[in-house]
Amino acid sequence: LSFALEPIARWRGKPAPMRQPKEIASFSYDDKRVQHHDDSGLKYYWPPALGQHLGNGFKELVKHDDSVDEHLDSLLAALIHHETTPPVPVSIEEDNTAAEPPKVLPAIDFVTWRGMATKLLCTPFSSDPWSMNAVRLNDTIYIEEHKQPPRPMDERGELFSYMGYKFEALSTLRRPFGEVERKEIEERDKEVVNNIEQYCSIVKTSIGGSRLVLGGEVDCVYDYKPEDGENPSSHYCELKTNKLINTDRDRTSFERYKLLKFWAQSFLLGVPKVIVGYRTNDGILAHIEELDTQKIPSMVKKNNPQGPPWDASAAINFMAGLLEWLKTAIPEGEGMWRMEYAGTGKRVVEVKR
Amino acid sequence: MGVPALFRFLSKKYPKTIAPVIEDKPQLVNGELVPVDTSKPNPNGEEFDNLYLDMNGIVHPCSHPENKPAPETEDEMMLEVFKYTERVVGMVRPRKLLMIAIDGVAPRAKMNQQRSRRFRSAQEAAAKERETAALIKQLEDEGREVDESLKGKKTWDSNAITPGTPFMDILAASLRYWIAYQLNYNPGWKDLKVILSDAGVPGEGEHKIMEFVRSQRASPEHDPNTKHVIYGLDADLIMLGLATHEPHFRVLREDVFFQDKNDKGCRICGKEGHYAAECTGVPKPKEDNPVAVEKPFIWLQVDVLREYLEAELDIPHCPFTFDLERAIDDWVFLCFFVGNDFLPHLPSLEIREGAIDTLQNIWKRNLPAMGGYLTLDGSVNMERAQIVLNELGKQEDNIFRRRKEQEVRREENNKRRKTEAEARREANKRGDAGGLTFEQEVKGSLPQGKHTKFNGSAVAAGPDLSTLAVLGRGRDNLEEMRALNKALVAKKNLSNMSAAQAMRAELLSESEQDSGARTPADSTPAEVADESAVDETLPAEPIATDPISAEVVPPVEADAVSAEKTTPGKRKRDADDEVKSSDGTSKVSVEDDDVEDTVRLWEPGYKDRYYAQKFGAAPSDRDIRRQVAKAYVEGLCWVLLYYYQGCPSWTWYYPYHYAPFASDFEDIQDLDVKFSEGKPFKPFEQLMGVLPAHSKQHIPEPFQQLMTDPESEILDFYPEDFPIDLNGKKFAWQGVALLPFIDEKRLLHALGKKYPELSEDENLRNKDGYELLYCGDQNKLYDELAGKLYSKKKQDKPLKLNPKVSDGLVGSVSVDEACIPNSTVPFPLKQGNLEDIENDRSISVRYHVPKSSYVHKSMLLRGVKLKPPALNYADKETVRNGGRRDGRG
Ligand SMILES: [Mg+2]
Repeated sequence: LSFALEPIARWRGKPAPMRQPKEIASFSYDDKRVQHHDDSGLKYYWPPALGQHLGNGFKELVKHDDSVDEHLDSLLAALIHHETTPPVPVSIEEDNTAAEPPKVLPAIDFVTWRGMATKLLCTPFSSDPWSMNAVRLNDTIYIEEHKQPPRPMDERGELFSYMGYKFEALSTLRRPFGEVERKEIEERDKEVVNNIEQYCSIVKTSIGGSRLVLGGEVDCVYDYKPEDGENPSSHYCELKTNKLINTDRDRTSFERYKLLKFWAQSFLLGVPKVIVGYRTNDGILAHIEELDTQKIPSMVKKNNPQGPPWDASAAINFMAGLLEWLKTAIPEGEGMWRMEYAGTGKRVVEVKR
Repeated sequence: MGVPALFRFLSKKYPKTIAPVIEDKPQLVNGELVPVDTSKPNPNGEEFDNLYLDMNGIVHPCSHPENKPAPETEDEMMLEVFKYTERVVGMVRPRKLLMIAIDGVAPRAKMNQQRSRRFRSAQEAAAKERETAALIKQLEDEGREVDESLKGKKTWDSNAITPGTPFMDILAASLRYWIAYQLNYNPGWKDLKVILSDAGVPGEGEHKIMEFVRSQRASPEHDPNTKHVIYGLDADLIMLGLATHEPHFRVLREDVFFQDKNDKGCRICGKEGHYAAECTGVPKPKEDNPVAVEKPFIWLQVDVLREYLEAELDIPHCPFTFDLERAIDDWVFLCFFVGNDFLPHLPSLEIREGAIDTLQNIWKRNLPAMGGYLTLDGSVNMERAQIVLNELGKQEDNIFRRRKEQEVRREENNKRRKTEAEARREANKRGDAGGLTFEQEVKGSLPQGKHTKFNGSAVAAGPDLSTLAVLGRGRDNLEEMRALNKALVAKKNLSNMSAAQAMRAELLSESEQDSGARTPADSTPAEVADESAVDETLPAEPIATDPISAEVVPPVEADAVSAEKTTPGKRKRDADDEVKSSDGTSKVSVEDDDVEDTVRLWEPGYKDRYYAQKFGAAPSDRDIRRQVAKAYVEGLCWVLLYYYQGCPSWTWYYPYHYAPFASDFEDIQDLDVKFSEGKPFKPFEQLMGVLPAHSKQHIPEPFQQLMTDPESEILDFYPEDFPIDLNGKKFAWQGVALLPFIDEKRLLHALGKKYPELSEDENLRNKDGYELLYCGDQNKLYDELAGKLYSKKKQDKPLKLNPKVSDGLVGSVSVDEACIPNSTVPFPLKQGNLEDIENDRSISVRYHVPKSSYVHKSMLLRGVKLKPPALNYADKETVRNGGRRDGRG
């Protein structure tokens, strides 16, 4: 079975209706990769001092072993925890602790990591291949990455991905500004970086006629995480690094590849802000820019009057169409299906047993 | 903070920090005064979130205003306070929060200054009462009728403006009513939350405000782009504004440069147009002109000042990264050396002599070698402070010598000017004055410009005043006249002239003589008036003093300016003194005019003389110097912490009347400076600590005896007379009042015995108060507060405010027992025609400022969006070049 991307033009136009992603649960991994159903791993954005070297401490990185396939385990554990724990009363008036816990899953069409959803969303404008596994249980389709042995990265590649983690370490605090010592803010460079600890947000959203539950790592809150029932998603922000833009080519490539990814990732979790740390070729943090997720598509459009490299509406409409099709293509109770996009050649998404 | 001339210094050096306030005024429509609708957009083209009122800066000027007679009753004062506050709030139109903070019990470190001011003020008041009594008696002796209401009329004692007095209670009650009134009837207050921190809450008003700002900014819910405005007369609000590291911060105040054309009128009956000696004893009718001339206001924009400081303090070739926030803190710290309310300033640092620039240059030169900033979030790096003090110490001898040279030069100039004026007068007498009538002569002798300038008051006043007013350069001239008047009255019987005639004749010669001796700079008496209004703030800022070229300013100027806060009467006498002493034929000599300065800082050996005379120490006694220096270092640390983190100790104080020399600081890095927090005095303890016996009526009866009873164990705290050490200065008000320091233990011991005699009411007045939070029923917060605190199932424990409902305000609240929603709030005053508020639609709760155990950090908050720069390249270059325009200087 296959789903055709082309012609892209048919996806353009008004975007399919979307529901604003709303957080339904969150959880944290500690530095031993143990999952906790709380916000202990939540971080607070605080701007880093410019001029710091993003390569500092590269050798000390405590690295997560990404050869292990974690499947959807922690996401599902969080959902189960969420479904079986009575909600905390959010306001004093409604002291209705006795109310039934909301049943989320029965009404949901898809459950997956944000990373997979990003790949689906970007497919029409991307030549990166992907491969996923899907299974349909009780009318909910669970999608996970079809894990392949990690490609060995060269030293340079390792360093660049380290710089991303380092930028996060330099830009966040473990507690709000008012509760930390100055030293903690000024000596963030001295901390050993690890990519094991994480904070994840799980949101409910819908694209076109499909309802989704997405889980994804959130780098930090911009200000604070509300405790009164307000959707925390609008307080989150995503931290990214990029090399300083000096030439037109730099800009084109930044807009075509990076901004598409930044936008898709943040958009899917309802994260309103992307903070980009620009580094020199030597890895010195030179400049920080705060982008509004919502405005990224129009920004790219404005910079490319002759035709933007990608189109957010088309991406959304494609994904809405794909999800709708998957609901018919993947039948209930028949085990695992493989979904694949080759990236080059045939512009189709294939689904097979 | 008492940094004389600081405001003037800053606005001169950093001119773009100042901007005029655009103010809508109430309009007369068909004879009715239509108030300004402050719910409309702010005419300044920008909206503000929070307004903080350092309320003593309103109460003082309202109790003894500069441009009209003082209110006669406390009720009238309250009405004035209402009017003035409404004007200020209407100017700023805060959209989120109004905080009204009245000085509560101050830290012990502040009490020395409070005490000195209040004792001096009492001395002045006593003198003034004697004087008025004498004048009235004279009128009676002449057979003129004196209105009964004027007899025995006591000047209102401004010492009542001290926490714990019945007056402060009335003030708090009045403000509570007034806030409810505004919330009920003023559309501009619809969304406003109001915090009232009255005198019952310990702490100085502006510091309670700072604590609030710090507490909000420590919360992640705080909007980093909150627009703050603080009103107050005190120049150190600028320092406090900088210390918050909130970039959108403005100080609002009356325009000190604005020329005030009005005068107070006769001091006996309050009417304008004549002087006390001519008073017929008929009281002034009530004011009926609603649109009186008001002084305009100005902004001091802290964000622009930050730009200037960035240009000035970011020195090239510094081995470490420039951090504007840290550099600003260092600059604030340097300003403390030049003056603050808690320590006498170092003898070598006079702001008028450019002391701030001196220190700043030392800082800039030594910063690379120091390897880092002087201060960190309110604590001092002693090694680095020692370096700065060493450098200053090296310059000290020179500074003293130069000061003397300039003084000598000034005196010579004055003498020369006087001789020239004398010669001119002689020439005039021989010349063409002959045919003119007296009136014409007076007017004809005036420069045209001056004549028109003072037309305003000339029109408003009677014929006598018009003559006098055109002569004048404003207040100080009128003060001179009063002085003259006094003298003339005394010798009137010897003369055939009437007092008025004699006065005019004298004035004519005075004015000629003086106008030659004065620089244009001193024709702005309005500033004096303005500055003198605040209580705890400072000795007034001298007018028009160019710190860079202090030598061009004649000595009379500094005096004219002198006015000290709490002593409105003082100003008068200072001016008197000045006239007399600057007049060669002086009749009455100032008591301290001829006191010789025996320390002679400009001559070698001054240090021994200084310590011998000021501290009674033998030249060999090095210990005392170390002790004084140590106490001073403690003081500097205390002050910095006080500004940045809140009061580090309620009990610490500097136990000397004088400062050490910069060169007396040695190895201060070895000092162990620690503070114990202690607790604030109770209101009555503070009253007993700062009030003189002359003001004892503000204190409960049982305590009063302790001030006067010869048997009192603390009688020595309340001397009737006390010496004033000129300390090298020229006039008494500049000198040091040598009052004994209060011994806390003895004071509390003596009071302890009297506590059982207090009435219940008095006991209540002595208790710590609490801050109140108000809002109207259209505010989102209202339902939450009413529902959770005043409904049937109200909760007892404090309720944490939800910042979304409170629009970012954090903290917790609990029930205010005095609040009954929808009840009737009675108008608390007997005078005035405001009505009772029926079905009160406002609500009040106790407000608890969130306490954070973490230190306030001098950093900009994430998400701050700075305004586009206000300074251009030329502005910055000017500042970098020390005030000279590039290419021109
Ligand atoms: Mg004050």
